[in-house]
Amino acid sequence: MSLDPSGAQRTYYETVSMCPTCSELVPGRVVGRPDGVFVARECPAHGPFEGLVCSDTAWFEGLGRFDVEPVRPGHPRATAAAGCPRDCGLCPEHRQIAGTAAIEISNRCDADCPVCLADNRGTFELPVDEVRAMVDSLLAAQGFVDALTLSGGEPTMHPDILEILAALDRPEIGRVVLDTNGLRIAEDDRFLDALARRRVMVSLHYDGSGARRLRGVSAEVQERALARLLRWGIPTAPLVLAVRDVNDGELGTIVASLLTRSPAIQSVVVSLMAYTGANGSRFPGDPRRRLTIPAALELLDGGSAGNLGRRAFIPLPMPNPVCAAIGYFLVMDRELTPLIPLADVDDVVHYLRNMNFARDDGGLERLLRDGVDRVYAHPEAYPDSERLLRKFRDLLCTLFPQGRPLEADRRRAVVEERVKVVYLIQFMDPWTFDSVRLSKCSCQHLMPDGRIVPSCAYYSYHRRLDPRFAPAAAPARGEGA
Amino acid sequence: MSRSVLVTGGSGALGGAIVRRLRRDGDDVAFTFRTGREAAEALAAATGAHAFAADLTDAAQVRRMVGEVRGRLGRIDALVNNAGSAQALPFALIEERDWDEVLAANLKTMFLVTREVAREMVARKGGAIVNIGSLAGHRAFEVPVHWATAKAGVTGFTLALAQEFGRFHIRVNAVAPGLLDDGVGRMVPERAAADFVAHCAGGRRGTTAEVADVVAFLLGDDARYVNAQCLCVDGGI
Repeated sequence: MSLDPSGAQRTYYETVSMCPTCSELVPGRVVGRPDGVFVARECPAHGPFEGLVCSDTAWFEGLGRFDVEPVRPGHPRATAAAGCPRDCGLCPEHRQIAGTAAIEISNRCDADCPVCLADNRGTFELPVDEVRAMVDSLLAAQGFVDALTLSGGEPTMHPDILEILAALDRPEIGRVVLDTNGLRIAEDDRFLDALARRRVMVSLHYDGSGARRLRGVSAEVQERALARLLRWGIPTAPLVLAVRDVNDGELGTIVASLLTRSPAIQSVVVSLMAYTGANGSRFPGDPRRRLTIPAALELLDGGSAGNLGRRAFIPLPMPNPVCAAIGYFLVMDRELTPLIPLADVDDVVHYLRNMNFARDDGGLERLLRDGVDRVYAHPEAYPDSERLLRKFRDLLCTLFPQGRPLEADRRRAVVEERVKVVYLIQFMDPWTFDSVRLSKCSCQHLMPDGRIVPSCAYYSYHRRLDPRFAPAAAPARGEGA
Repeated sequence: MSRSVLVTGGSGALGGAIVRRLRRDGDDVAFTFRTGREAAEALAAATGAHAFAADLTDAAQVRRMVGEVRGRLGRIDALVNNAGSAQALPFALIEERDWDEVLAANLKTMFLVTREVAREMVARKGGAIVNIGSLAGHRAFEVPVHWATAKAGVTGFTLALAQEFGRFHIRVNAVAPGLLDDGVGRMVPERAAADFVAHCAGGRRGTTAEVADVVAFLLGDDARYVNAQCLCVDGGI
């Protein structure tokens, strides 16, 4: 780290960034000032740019505690020749296996989201066997993946979506996530019947009053889709896109109401606007004033009676901790109790190291036990400690009722009903592109040719090199010329 | 001549196994239940044992129940104190009412039922009592403290009662199961269960039937010189 002569700016490290105008890769620096942390670079053709990475410099400088030793990929698919991100595949310089792998199973879509990260030209639909082969290839390299996300395009439009879900029902995949705009779910009963029989978690776009501006669909349609998923009892993780000056004022209300709404909502994901993709790069707004994680946490605090604020979250140790934050909440009697403040932060980091989703390995139980003991031993540090302990007691009495033990599956279901997770994630875009940060990315796209590309590199760099998105690419089956 | 045996807590997994085993031996069996009416009725129908509903923490209900059992069986030669309940709570979350409830369900019931039943055993100068404890009353296990306390109390109750009743030729013994594959054993987390099995010479959980076999032995004449013992049925820990 170096300081400029005035002492007002410090340079944390050198990196490779990108010109937001022409997308050329250019040398950059990650710098900190009192008003935030930025990626600074200068394009020979378009001049200097700064992209806001983190609006709270102290938060950024405290991330080292969460920057755990990664699990390195065992089988690089590319050589490190031209440098990051050109060598993606993964190259030997990449430091992290995939926690969440994504497959864009088609680029057809029935919506035209103004914020879309993708480029929906209707030129391909991956056959089931190809999807299976891509997953086989990933699992051959790393054995297990916490989550596999099917996206697109709109994956529910894929004619073989149910077969793809069936093909992915395997123990090496922690959970299969279906990322959807909800249009089909809002109308198609038979599709919901089929989804309810699959092992899948639906990531449904749900943006509050910002739905129309962000997704081009009404909030009523999103609400209808959510209500139907919950009526069918399908595990759902609403995905709330948070955008400055669009829906940032209602974040706390949206998330708090989702968490207390239904047992089927096991987690909520708040994704912060990334200005990339065919539409997203053109979305009106100032990327330099974007929401970053610390600011979003402040906004969450409002509208949630203070239960969703900063103290309830920690940076997620996987991937790079600047990219995501996580909070756990006990939900009982429609009340939210943040669990992170009950735990020793280093213990939580140790537990969450190198995984994107909690696993059923006893670790979460140990953290809860430690939290209970901490409240018991230090009642003065926890307001209303007696009531808090009683909540845990009631949870355990529900999990282990006297005289009629619950089956393990039912116990797991009760925990999922009562313990909810909120993720905040922040993808990079050309304004914030940083190859050093990218080298620890755990959200990775699987390519049909067997390559694995960090999602942020795909969104902002590799998609335009993907032949499936070439202007002359053939239309997908069922598409008109 | 067949024996008449009263088994408390017969609608649970272990109680049911004991009832089935004793019926198979030809004993005339009555059992009590508190909440599991459906299971109790099914057990009675399947085995020909007699089911009696009672809250055994209530002395008046115990007195009434024992009177009804005597009315049905004619006499009570042997008693199996099996009724009990558990709560899966760490020490920090055990409230006063939990402590009272678990000790009452596991120990007070044993006292009240024994007090009513043993009267005729003392008068007749003979009988056998088996109390169901737990290995957790003898060894350090990750189990709720109030429950382990109650199960340790079973040992004290057994030893002192055996000493006091020795002169009436009433044998009093206890059985302390390890981790079983049913009943309370189903509340044990997989991790703790795996730890138990790893330290068990038998290399597995026990079954309720295996514990019932030991109870039947202790009640019978083959155990006539076995008294004031606490037999651990744990596969070898």
